[in-house]
Amino acid sequence: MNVLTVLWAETYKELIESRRYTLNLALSIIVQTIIFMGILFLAVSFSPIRTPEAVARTAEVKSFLLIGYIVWTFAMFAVNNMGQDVTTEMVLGTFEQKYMASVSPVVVLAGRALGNVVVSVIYTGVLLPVLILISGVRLSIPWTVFPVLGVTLVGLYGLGYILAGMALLFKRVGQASYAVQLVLLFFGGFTNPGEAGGVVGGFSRALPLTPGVEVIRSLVLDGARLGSLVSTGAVTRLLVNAAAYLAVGLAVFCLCDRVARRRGCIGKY
Amino acid sequence: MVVVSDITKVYGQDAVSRLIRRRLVKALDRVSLEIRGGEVFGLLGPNGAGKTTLIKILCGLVLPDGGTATICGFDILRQRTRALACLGAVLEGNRNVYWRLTVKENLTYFGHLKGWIGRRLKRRIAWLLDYFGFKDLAREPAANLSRGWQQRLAICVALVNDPPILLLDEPTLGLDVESARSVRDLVQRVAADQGKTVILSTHHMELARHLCRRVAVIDRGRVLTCSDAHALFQGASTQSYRARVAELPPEALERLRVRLGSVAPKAVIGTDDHEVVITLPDVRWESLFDMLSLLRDEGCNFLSLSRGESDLDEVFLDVVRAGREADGPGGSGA
Repeated sequence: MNVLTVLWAETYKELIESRRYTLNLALSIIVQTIIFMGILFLAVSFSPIRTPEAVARTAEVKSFLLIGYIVWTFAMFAVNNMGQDVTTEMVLGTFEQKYMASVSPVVVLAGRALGNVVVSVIYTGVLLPVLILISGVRLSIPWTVFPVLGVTLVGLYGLGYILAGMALLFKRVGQASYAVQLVLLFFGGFTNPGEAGGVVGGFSRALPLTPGVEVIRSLVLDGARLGSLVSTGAVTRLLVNAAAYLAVGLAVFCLCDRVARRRGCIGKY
Repeated sequence: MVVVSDITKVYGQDAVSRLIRRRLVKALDRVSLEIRGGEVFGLLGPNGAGKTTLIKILCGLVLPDGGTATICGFDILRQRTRALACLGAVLEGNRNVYWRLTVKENLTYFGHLKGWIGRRLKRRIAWLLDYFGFKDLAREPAANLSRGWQQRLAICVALVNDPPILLLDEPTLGLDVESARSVRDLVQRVAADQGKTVILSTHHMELARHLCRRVAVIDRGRVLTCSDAHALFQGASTQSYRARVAELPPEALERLRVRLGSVAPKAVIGTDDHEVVITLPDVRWESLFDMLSLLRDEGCNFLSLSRGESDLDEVFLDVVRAGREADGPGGSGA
């Protein structure tokens, strides 16, 4: 019961704070749109010959990029907020109070993550139509995308736990989360690991974003059924990847928590 | 209610700190205390004495290297969440509340974090808003409150789940006189009306004297004394006479010291910036006249004579100095 109450508390607070910082959220949507427009411009620039095949190919690339970009937006929320929020709360002087909740800090952060997902869903709900309008692509999104996205987010929040744990010890992890976001953008959201072989392909597949993006692309762009993706092993890869990242994330966070409490630096900034 | 047994904490012992040869700092050295239910207990000590470390160990925010601490019978290490359910804390130097949230939203949020929900929480919040004088400020963001009211809100939030124990780490730090007095009165009211056990860490002696039933003086991580607050501060209420005379040659000063010892054994002679200060902790007229006759006989050049009370801070410093003298020179390094 306490766990659910804490999850609700964090979600509720996240929503209130997002409402109070509406301008920041709106500006963030504008920035995201600009970045996507830039990426689209680059993609179109690489196919300057306007043959019918090239135009069709460009539309395909746009859809491909749009899906990667949207899932990456969720990843950005997960990675950026988990680490940064810990730092921000330490600066604000509210973090130690959170640590004294009726449940473990892992659950408090899970609540934070849940609140974050709710906000990111609202955010993406606004961003996606804007991006569809700009890119001119047509997307039909089947319901099966949502559970797949949920599992992908589990892995991403596992990565978020790692950054939150690092923030407990090292306080400023802004650059680390920035680096992770870039890696996820270029090696997870936009690449096609099936085409990129070798080390890059392997690295890309090992990221928490890639298996989810692959499955979602198959569902949306190829019209594949979830059942068929289970048989190809894509869903299994996604589940294993997400579970592994979550397990590692929790283990790293618990270790960092113990070290921080031993050092007496929880809440210190 | 709260039992602390042989708690030891040395900072800088972890692998990374050892690798970079960080200095070991002994924050707490086998500290043992027992705080009874319903009492206001003061933790007194200079900066860096170890008060905050002890408070944070009780809050489960710092892991001790040795010893145990139990809160309402729950071990803070083994039964952390059950122990934490028994206490609310206002920590030093922290905001403790969210400034962007309103008073009521803060109470609701922290109530949920403490596992309270529904009508029970609503009733509790309504009561707290009334008791703490927030009824008309419930929808006000915490950022709009004055510093004193923000601290009041922090205490209110700490009590949202009606814990039997309230931990306050330097609750009046940074407050103006009026706000500090308001917070002091509030704590006194909470302890008296609600029967809460209050553990108060401070270096404001006046605050401790006003609120605490028992106090422990901590310095360099050790408990120097743990006693009845009245007994500790009794010395402070002793009135005394203080005579200031012009500087004396060494032999005259020594003669005065010997003669004064026979007339007023409790008198203390000190020198201060070309002056001799004689303090007589005895307010009987005869003792005063004896001292004055002696000073006249010795041909002392009078500068002033005053009557006053010993400073509370002096009493505290005396305890700390005595502890350090017994301990010998050295810092808090382990």
